[in-house]
Amino acid sequence: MLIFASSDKGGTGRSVTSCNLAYRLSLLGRDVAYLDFDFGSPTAGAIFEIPKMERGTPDGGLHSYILGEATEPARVDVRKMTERTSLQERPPGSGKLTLFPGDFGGAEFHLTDNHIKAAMKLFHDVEREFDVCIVDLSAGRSSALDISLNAISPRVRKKKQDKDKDRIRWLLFHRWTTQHVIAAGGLLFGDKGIVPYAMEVGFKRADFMRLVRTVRTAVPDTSAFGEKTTAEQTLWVTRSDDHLKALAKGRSLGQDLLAGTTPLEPMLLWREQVIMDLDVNRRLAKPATAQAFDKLATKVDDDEAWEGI
Amino acid sequence: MARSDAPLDSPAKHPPAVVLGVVTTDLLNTSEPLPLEAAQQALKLLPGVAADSHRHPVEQAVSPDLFYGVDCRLATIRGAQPRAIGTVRARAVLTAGHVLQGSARVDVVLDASTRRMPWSYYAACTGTVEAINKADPADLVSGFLKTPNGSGLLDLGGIGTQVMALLDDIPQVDGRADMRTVASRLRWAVLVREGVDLDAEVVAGSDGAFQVRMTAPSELVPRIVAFCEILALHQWLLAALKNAFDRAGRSPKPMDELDPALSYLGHVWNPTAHLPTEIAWLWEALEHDAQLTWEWESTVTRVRDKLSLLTRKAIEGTLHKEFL
Ligand SMILES: Nc1ncnc2c1ncn2[C@@H]1O[C@H](COP(=O)(O)OP(=O)(O)OP(=O)(O)O)[C@@H](O)[C@H]1O
Ligand SMILES: [Mg+2]
Repeated sequence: MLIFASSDKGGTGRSVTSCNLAYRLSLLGRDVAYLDFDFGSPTAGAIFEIPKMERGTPDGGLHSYILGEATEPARVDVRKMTERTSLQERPPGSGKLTLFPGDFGGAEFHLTDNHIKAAMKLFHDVEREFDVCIVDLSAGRSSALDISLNAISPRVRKKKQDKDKDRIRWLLFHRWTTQHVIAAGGLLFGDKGIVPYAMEVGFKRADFMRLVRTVRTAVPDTSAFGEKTTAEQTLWVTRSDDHLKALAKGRSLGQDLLAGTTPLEPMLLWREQVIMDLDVNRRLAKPATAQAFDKLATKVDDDEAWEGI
Repeated sequence: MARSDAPLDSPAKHPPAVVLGVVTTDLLNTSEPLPLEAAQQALKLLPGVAADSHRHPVEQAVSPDLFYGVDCRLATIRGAQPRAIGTVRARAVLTAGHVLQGSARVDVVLDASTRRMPWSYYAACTGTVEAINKADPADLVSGFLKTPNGSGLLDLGGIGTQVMALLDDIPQVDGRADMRTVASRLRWAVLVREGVDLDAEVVAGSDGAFQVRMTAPSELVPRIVAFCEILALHQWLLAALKNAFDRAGRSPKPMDELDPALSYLGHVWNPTAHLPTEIAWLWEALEHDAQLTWEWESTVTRVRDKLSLLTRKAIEGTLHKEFL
């Protein structure tokens, strides 16, 4: 399965949520690859706490691979290389967790047939080895996004005729505010958005929309006001939520498209990291955060749950 | 010395100082193994040249040699990395219609010339690169074995993968192998010494894959290639079966892991089938230390046991339902 992680704006929590999703999927027993396609600022190394890879690898990362400068992309076994001791352990029943880092000092580049071919080969190779491959795209309509859409278009994936077996998911991450909802809708449906481009590269609109789901990130609740909230605040939060829900629905980003919601997690305000159950047991992370990542992983993993929301 | 009116000295006249090779192994991405006739067709990678093949004891087809031009650096440990120009020899090997190998190798000639010659000079001597800077042969062997990748370096693994990829596009290959597998890479290097007996050492590299370091006369190279391909094939088989068993332990559908693994790979193990006699001792020494065949057999038994347990449970489940 290929999962693409997109967002309109930077800083939405796309990478942190995707890394946590990868981690949770590996706990479910899946062999997981994380492909850092945020060529301009690859951050997965930092989130998995891999020393010397906080901002990508110095040699032969995905950026060089797509450019044709490396015949094989660099890869790291996250559990072997992470500095975080508790993450090093592979719990019984869990699968592999492998990071394909971006390059340190990489940058965006132009779309060419060769780049698309390289991406196709890459996806083909990782899919043969892993159950799930998460591709973290840069924010906005980046070349990473365009390359990816071309590489998964039905025109080029003809060998997998069995449509039901071709498991692709497209996640759109956005924060839960007015501007972010509007921006996310724009990225998906706008003139220069993802959906029109998907159609340009050969998808039927309905087929592509079957792949797309949203993830609402860092969603606060009344506790954000402080320990004690006034009745007015509670009411206001409910109203604002309703307003956002209506806005999202109006932009076709409603409940039917929703894959999951992550709560505002204080730990993630300080540090981009994997939230382990251990963090919850130590009473650092909110139980709801771990649950949200877990729920998202379970949903992504289960075809019926994914389809039949 | 080459005279200006004479053809340039061909590098063939210079014996190689070292021979370097990489064997990449993975499952051919197709749902059913190719019958031998189809395999022969598939591996006819050059027009007019038939693939080599044998039917017994395990079906195998071998493509003709293909040549890839390179202008690259050679890895070293101590010295400067010499620049080398020439062509790499590569072939595809398909065993039991399903396990595919890209096997690439190159003869490295030292001290033949100190400047870049016209391409025709290199093209005249296929399968050879000439280093135009000084280098110590033993250092080239160590450098090659210890440096898996690097930009600008000779990339035999990449060339092997390219040869393998040629098979992805043919109609007989449906792109739907039912098994998750990990490609493996075996690196090998020979320090060439004429008139000596073969001396060899097999060690596990940083990625767990075997590496073979040898001192041998050049006439033995074809047999060394065959040995390394056999070793790579069997190390991959073992790893692939263990991976399937491991995955079955955590999969909601364990049968879907074990069934294809057994039917794709269960019958392929036969390391001594085509082992060249001159080099058979090396395999025996390896068996003595690493007990690969024992490990294979015990893994096959575990897979079978688990499969029959699952089958029994499934049958009991249906009977139970009928009874209710
Ligand atoms: N659920 C959450 N609660 C609180 N903070 C969060 C949450 N999820 C992510 N964050 C924080 O939001 C910030 C941005 O997250 P992240 O780097 O994942 O965003 P991004 O969308 O990948 O950004 P970019 O486009 O720059 O790559 C980080 O500091 C991260 O820790
Ligand atoms: Mg990011």
